[in-house]
Amino acid sequence: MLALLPEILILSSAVIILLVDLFVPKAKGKLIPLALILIFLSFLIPLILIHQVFFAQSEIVSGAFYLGKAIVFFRFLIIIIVFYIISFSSEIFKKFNYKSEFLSLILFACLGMMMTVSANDLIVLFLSIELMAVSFYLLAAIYKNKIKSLEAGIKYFFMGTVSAAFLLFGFSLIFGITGSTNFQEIQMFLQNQEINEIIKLSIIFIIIAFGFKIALFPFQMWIPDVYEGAPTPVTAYLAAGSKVAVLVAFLRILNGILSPYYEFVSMILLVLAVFSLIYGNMLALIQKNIKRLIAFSSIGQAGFILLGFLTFSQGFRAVTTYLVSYSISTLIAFCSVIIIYGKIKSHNIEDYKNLGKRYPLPALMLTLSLLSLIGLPPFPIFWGKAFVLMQALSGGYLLLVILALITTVISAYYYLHVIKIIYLEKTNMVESFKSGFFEKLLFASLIIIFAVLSITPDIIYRFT
Amino acid sequence: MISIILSTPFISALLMLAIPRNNIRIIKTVAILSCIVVLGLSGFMVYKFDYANTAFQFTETYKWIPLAGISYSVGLDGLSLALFLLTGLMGLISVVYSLNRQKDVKSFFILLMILLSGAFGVFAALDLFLFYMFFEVALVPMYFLIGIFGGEKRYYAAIKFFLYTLFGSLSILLGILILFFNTEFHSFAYTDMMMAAQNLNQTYALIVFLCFFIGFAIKLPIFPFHTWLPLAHVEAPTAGSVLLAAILLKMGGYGFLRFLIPFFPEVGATYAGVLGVLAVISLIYGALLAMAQTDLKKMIAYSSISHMAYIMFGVSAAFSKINDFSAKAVALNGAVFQMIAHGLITGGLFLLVGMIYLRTKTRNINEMGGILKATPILAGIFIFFAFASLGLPTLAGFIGEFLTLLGFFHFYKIPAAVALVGIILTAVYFLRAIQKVFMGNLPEKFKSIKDLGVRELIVLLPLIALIILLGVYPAPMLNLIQNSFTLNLFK
Repeated sequence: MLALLPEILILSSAVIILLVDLFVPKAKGKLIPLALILIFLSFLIPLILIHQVFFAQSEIVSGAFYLGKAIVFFRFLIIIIVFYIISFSSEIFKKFNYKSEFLSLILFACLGMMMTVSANDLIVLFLSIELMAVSFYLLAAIYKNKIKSLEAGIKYFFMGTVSAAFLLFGFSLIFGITGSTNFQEIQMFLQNQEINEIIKLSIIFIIIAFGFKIALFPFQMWIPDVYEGAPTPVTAYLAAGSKVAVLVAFLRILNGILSPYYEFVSMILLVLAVFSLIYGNMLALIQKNIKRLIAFSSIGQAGFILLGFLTFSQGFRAVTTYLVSYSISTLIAFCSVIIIYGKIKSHNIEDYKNLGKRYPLPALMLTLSLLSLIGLPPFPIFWGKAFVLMQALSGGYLLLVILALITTVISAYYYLHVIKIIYLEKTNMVESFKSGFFEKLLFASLIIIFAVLSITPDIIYRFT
Repeated sequence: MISIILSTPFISALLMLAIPRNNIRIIKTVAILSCIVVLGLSGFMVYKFDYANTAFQFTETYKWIPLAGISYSVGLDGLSLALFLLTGLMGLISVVYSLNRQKDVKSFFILLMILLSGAFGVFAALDLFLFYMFFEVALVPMYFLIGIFGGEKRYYAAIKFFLYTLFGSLSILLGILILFFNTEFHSFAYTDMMMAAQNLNQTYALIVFLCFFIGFAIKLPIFPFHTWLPLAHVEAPTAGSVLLAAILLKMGGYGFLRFLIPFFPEVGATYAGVLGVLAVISLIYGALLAMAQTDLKKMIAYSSISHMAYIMFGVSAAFSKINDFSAKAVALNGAVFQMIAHGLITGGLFLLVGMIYLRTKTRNINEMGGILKATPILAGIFIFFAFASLGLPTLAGFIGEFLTLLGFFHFYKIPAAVALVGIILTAVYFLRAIQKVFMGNLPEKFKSIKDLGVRELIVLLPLIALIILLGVYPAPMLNLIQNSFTLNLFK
């Protein structure tokens, strides 16, 4: 039971916040600090009791969850991401009326994410993805008065429901063949099962469903509008949290139950990767809104990550390194955007002119995270990209690697475009801003994580 | 020891981050101190260098990411040591020259320091992944130096520089990764990679050769990959141009000598002629383009391209199928020597152009004239450097050009003969520039410009001294290169 301690604590935190808001009206202003404390405890207590939580290698709750070392690491990572999202959004939400709903939705999404990465059963996986998704539909639309936010929510809702349908289709086909929803049992059955049309169909459906969630081409239509329209903390959460959780689940499915069919799967993933790389990076070139730019670039990044999936179980470490670096880099990028928006009230890249002088700390953070996203050494995503490329080369995908490198150069252009506007352009706007103490503290802690990942990327290996 | 040199500029950059941007004096002091420390340590290493030992010295090897075969492995041989000294010297000179900067001092010097760290790392790295990392680390500070502190077309120059060289770097990465899978024990270490490269089958050897070649050819630069250079050089601030010419370009040459020649003897032998021809084209094309310039800085940028071609002569000679080892040794010695000489000479030329620009506010040679009358010392030193660049004997440029051409001639007689034309062309554009800028009538507006100040003299004198010293007595440098690098190649 203790193995599920983080989930239990997060769930309790969500409920506590809802209840506190309901019954203690005076606490309206203090909800965010309360949430932060609860989240911190949800991180700390399992960490202290880490022996019971960490080394529970076996299945839990009669096979519903699997808590291997890597999975536990990702659960902690998700809690850390939630912590930062809420800390950075405290400024924006000062005058917001739906604080408790917002906070508890974030925590429910967190719960969904944690369950997604640790799910060991088809139904559990589906439910956790849905829990995460439904929370996000609401979170994206939480600015009830802004059309863009509502549009983001509705778009995400429609896309997400369709993808859920595909996921359920795929899962039910697998259930039909194997007669079980438990991953281990399915895997045992499918080891000896030759690929047939039904399995191919289920694989296609599952890949479509996950493709929606990860925003691969051609399932990426929702991502620019949702990223742009949703409140930026929600966007940050989607990018750093949801994408990572879903990719981990995808990785586990491909390495686990679908591992006998890897030729078929890699064929499909190869095509998706090629198109995602080209589409994402080319379209990001023309974007004028920073959130849309990162959205399109994330399509390209998803394509890049797929290179690590092509060699299956050997690629596990490469993909995990990439995921963690990508998560942290995107988190830093979006958190800087949140802070900057709080002061200049615009997401238009042109308005970022001279930000290096006007608002130095977030500008520097944004720049570092963008340099990381290009894939420049020694920053974290460079390591992720290098390891993923090594995996792809070991599988013999030379042309794909060349394409990935060319699109990296293309991506350098648009990332540098933002950096250029921040540092290289001068404007007449002399309004400058100072960073508060907490802002500096948060950024300092992020930069320490960033630096550690840059210098010793194999620290992730140790924890996974 | 090497790690101290590598980390000192970087640590001083971190220190400077913490200093508030108003304390200009402290920032400048930190910069100068770290450059002095680094140069001093490099000199000390020369003193301790064992000339008889052909292995890498001062090596340090630590396991870094064992699961991926990446280690932190550094060491020096004659080639790297010579380049270390050059980097240290030019770094100090750039910092001293930039001491008069009053605006944006903090970011400028931080970027300079990171650039220096990257440069030292490139020359010292013995693990190919580490080499690649330092190779790319040098890109970002240069981008900002050009983009923030540069001239009019700085955005375009900076992004073109960055994307072009990034493409080259990624090409090198591809080559390194392909080699990695061929190594016996999955490691990125230099010796393991060398064995892997020599055991590659023909197709893959060609692919990796091309990958490396493209990357280093862009950096050197060699026709037809040179188009980023004139823009980058012209738009960069003076210190940036100096470091770009003196150090970043040498990374390309270093790559050829350290990686391409030892790793791919057979593939190189097939294409040695092509490389030679490309070098001749670079030399002459660069010289012709320099002749056509009215912008003094752009002319020197093209002369830079032209002079780097001599290094390619050495590479092409070293690759040749004919086994004339003494001629190959001559060519290679010349190539390395030319790297050092070019760094000193062209670095000096860019400094001088900067000084001229400060005084006349123009780089157009048609608008200048008679500067000799107003600033005789500046003019005299410029003429000195111009003659050094075109290869006047007793100056360093002559040794480099002469040795490489001599070696190259043994293998490719006709291209070498054609290359001689390049020397004449060099004389043409330099003499033309000297005549237009320094001789003739002095326009009114330039009558009151001042001659060289103390700081500027301090910066130029070491270069002048070294150029003369190396030109008259090249033996110590040549011994260093010959014993612990060139001879090693032909074991």
